[in-house]
Amino acid sequence: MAGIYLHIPFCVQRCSYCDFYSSTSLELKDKFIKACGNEIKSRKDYLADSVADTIYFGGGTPSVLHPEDIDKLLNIIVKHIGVSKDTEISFEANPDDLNPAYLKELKSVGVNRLSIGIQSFRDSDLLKMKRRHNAKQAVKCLEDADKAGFNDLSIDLIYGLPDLSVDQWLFNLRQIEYFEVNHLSAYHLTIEKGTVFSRWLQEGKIKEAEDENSLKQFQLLQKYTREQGFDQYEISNFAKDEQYSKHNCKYWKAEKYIGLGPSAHSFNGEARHWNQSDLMNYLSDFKSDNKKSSSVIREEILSPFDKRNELIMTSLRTKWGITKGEWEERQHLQSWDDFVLEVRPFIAKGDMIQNDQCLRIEEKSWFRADGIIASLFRLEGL
Amino acid sequence: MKHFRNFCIIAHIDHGKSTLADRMLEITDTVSGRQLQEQVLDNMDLERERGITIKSHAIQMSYKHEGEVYQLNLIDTPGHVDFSYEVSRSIAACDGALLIIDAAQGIQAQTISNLYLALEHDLEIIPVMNKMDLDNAMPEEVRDQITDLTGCEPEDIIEASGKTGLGVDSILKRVVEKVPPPSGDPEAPLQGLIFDSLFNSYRGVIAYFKVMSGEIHKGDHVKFFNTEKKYHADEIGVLRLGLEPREVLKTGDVGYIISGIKTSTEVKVGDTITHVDRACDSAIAGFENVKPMVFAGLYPIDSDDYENLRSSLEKLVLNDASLTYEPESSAALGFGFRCGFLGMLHMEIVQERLDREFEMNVISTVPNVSYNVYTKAGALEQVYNPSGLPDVTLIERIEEPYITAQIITQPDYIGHIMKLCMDKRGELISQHYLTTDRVELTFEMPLAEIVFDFYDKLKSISKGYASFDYHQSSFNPAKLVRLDILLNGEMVDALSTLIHFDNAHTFGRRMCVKLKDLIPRQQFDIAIQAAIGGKIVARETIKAFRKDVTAKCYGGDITRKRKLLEKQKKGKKKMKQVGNVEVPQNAFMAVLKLD
Repeated sequence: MAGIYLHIPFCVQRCSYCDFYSSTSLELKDKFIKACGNEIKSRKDYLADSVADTIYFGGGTPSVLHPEDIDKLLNIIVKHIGVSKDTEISFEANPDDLNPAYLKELKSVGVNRLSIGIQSFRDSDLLKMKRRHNAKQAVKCLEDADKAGFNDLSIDLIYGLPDLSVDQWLFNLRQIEYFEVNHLSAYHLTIEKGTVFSRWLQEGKIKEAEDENSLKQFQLLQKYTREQGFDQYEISNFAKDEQYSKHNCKYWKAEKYIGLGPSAHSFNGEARHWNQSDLMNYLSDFKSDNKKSSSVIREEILSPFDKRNELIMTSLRTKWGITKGEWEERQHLQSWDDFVLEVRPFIAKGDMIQNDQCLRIEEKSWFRADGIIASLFRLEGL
Repeated sequence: MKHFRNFCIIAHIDHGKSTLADRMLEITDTVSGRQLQEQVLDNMDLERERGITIKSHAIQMSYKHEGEVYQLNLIDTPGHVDFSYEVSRSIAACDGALLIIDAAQGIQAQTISNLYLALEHDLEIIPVMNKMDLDNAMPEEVRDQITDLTGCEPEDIIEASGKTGLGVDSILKRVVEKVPPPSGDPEAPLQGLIFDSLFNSYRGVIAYFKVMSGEIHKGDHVKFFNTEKKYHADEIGVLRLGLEPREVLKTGDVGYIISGIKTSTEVKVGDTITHVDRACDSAIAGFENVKPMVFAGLYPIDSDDYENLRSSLEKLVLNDASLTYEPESSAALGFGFRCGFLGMLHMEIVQERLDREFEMNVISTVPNVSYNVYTKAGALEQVYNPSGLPDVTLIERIEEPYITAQIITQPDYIGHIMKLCMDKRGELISQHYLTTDRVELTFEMPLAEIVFDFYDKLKSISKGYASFDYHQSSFNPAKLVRLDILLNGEMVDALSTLIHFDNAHTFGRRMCVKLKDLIPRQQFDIAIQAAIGGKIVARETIKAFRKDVTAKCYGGDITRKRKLLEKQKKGKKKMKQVGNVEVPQNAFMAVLKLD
């Protein structure tokens, strides 16, 4: 099965931590919807024989779009690419956009899963992050979403913020208990280049969280979610009752996906493609729907090394780890037995475990996953 | 013979020697403009880039003066203290010297010591003030310096500019008029002075020499006096733009000999060529076996490259006989070589040539000098490797090499330079004003102290207005200890240093602090300790990291995440494993980077 991602490159204002591509020129929305429709039509064969069963509106801020536009895009997708009957249609939204009327319309156009960018239930954090909403709106939108009949609700939270204490983090986590939320994405703050946080860091206005503190927050996150019946299925993702994000899982399981809109990424099984992060170019490139090849699309064909590394990288971040079957199917550089031998030191240290024909990183060592994964990488020519 | 003139150039780096030489080659039609790839004489890329001469070179020019044609042999000499022996041999092959002084910079230390060397060999000195075209030229002042130094008359100084060609003809005319023709006895047995050699991969070693007396014919059976090796002179000739074969070279000629020699170590600069049958009685005076002064371990970054490094060094030695190497091994760095260099510049050049000519990236360990260690058993051991130091209980005494260092600077900087040299255990021998604003300081100091951390400091405290020259003087008793660095209790042999006891504690502390900076945090705490014998003298701790994950999800952008981790992997790959600690390469050079 395959996935469809739409990148809605608009934001009313930029958040301090965010380096995803977006524009504040909201007046270009109509042109974008048209261009995106054209992109869908001209790239309709990208997924080839795979049938899509997930559609994901990400951003940027999808909730700046009018429900009519969402409907328009969904119709073009259904008509030109086609999707399966029980398609998961996820939609990222800002709490302050989710008023009851908007929620109702989202539901009516077919959105069946909301991913709400709460980030924090504390006003001072939200201010620091330059979020548009406040704590009250965060609470309100969750109640409204529930009322509007959204059963699949996911919220985003950020920890490891400068100065965020373990207690303050616990406060944020505990809000989950009050709502019918069955999915949580909790990300440790990464200060990316070009963001407001990165500037503040350079200017000495903020300090990065201490490792020790970050680790405590991560451990608290693991303990708390477990108690609440969540299953940590990826380093930053938690689900109740196996309500995993079907769409995000495709990224980790090397299923095909097409990414539409500026900066969106696609994968057809052999190569990765991505659209340039440039709205104006995008608009001019997809003025019509008969483009055969686009100048905004970049390509990377995966080498045998890339395939092996990606398999390790994506799988070991999940609770499923790598199975012998996947190993043998997705990469051809190294035998399974040899790989098992290579990870033995990590098993000995208690960082990894082997069950039957499956290798994975221990949950307690997930906070050091990058180091472990990087160690297992193989680089061409080195 | 009376139409030969052999001369060299004495100049400081950057005083425009090579450019001026190029103009002479042009004016004498030795090279055409098209052949003149900027600076013919410095023909190694590295030489051209750095504007310094590493090897000696020679070139013959024909110059017409008052209706007669003269053969002028210009012998170009290296311009750095590391190569002063080579300079002395080139000077011995000449009868005159151009003393080139930059009109904007004035006289530098290196120039003075080479000038003294030239005077010792009774060379006729022709003073030239170069770069007269520069806006900041100060001819009056520099003219005073030159007359003070050489005792010449102000009007004897030729004003020149390699850039505009000013004075070039006057220089050549003066060479013909003033430099005496060679003086050897054409009837005496052959004596040829080897002043340089180079390696050609097709023809073997090409030795440059001057016929001091007698003559040599193609095919002659010759021997090299000091190595006692015998060869046939397969080809002899003179050095024009290329090699020009000749049937015979006579007294006073400067030329080359090719005799099927495969390694440069057989051709020693300063050696004497003579005939097997009618040999000269004695060798030309002044021959020395060049001994390396500075030693360091060179290790391949990837241990699989050990054999490649060996063959690269073998090839380098073919045309750099002053480089020595022998295998050594280190627990931290694996298999490598202990190499001997003439000095720090030489070491730098070797590393750079390994990189450029052989694509060999190497890690070098802390450089040190060679010590004389007298054991209680009465033996003398040369120690040039920290691990070679015998157990303290077996040592009677240790002696270290001292140098006489000459520093020429402006009076403003005397205080700072004195402090620097005293801190480096130097003793002021003399202070002598060359002119009112130029002072020459002479120190006796341990060579070990200038091996690292000296040039750069000297440069910065004098804002570049200090020139430096040295030669080895004596061996003196040293309170030497070995300072070891331990990571989590495990000694890192590649970081051990031989150091004077008085400096050891401070040095150990600085090493620990620097290493804390250079070694990344790892999954456990790392204790960095400095120890002398069994005693820990300094300690720092690197706390373990607890977080090594990018929790953030980059959507479908798997490529970006993969690239980030590839970078992390590359970083790890470059590290060396010491016990359980991963040490980055640059940490092994920590000592060179101490603030």
